[in-house]
Amino acid sequence: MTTEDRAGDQHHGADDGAVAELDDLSLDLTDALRGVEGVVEVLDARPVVVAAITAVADGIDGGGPRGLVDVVRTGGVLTVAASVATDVGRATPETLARVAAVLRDRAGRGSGAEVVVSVTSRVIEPPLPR
Amino acid sequence: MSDHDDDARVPDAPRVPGVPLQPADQDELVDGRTLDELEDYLDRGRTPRDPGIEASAECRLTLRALERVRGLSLSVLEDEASRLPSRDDTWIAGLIDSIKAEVVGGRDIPLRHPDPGVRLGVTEAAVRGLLRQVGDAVDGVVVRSSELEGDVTEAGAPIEVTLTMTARYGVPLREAAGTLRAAAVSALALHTELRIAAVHVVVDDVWLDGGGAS
Repeated sequence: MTTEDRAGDQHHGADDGAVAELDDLSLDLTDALRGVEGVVEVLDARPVVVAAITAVADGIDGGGPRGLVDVVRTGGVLTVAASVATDVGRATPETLARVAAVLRDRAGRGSGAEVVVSVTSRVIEPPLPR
Repeated sequence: MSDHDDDARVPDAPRVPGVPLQPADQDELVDGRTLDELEDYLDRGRTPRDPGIEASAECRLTLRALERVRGLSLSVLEDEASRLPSRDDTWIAGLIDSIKAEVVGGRDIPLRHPDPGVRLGVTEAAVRGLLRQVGDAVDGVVVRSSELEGDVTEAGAPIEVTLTMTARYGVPLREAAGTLRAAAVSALALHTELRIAAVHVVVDDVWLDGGGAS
């Protein structure tokens, strides 16, 4: 049977290490995407139920910073999904291609897994003044 | 509505985006947040930053829409109220309802990528939000709603766009509609790969600005 690990999952015992690794990767990818040209914001890409469970768990144990990129490992395949808000002043297809390149590069680095990437722009807007 | 009201409606519930609440509440929430909560956040200049709101596409689209509603000239609303007292709430309520319907993600619109291991897309809600922004940039025009007709999930399928707008009294309607249409086509070409077969512009109302006569 193929096992599946997802960043943000609650596991016990032997799975903890694998999930923690995916959590770290999700956090790293989230930070990386914030620096991609044309990305206004990184949005939560995880399925609603997963996000809700994680939020509740964070509420219980205090929770630290968590990644917004959904990372799932199934066998030898690493599936990475990101949702972003993109800058209205730049072509969204090009921005998303840059995002995909960053995800592929960082997620594939040293993992030995096949990386499948999905990127969605869910908002197109001007950048907020920071 | 205050935070107290929110708490009364959702007792003991943690504020978790997407968590199902009572059926009566679900229609009033945007990714777990009330419109009043989002308005308060906007009042505070989106500070201190709320990661729960900022990480939600629905909330961000709603914040943009609320900014836009606030940006409408007060005189427009005053005119609506004085001219048609029974309609003022309806006008705003209709706009808010339209905004709430549009922040839901909707269909995924694919974008091409040469790598078969990469899938890119834009949500229908993002495109609708884009079309609203386009309308904002046209002087004297408010886009009330937008529709994408056709199979947007299939690359190359012909899509017809319908924009329903209102205009300030005195604005040449043909010219305004033409400007809006051109801006919409340009924005869609920049941000999507949709094959736009037609853009229909419907003018369904005219408002007075600064007390002018209709």
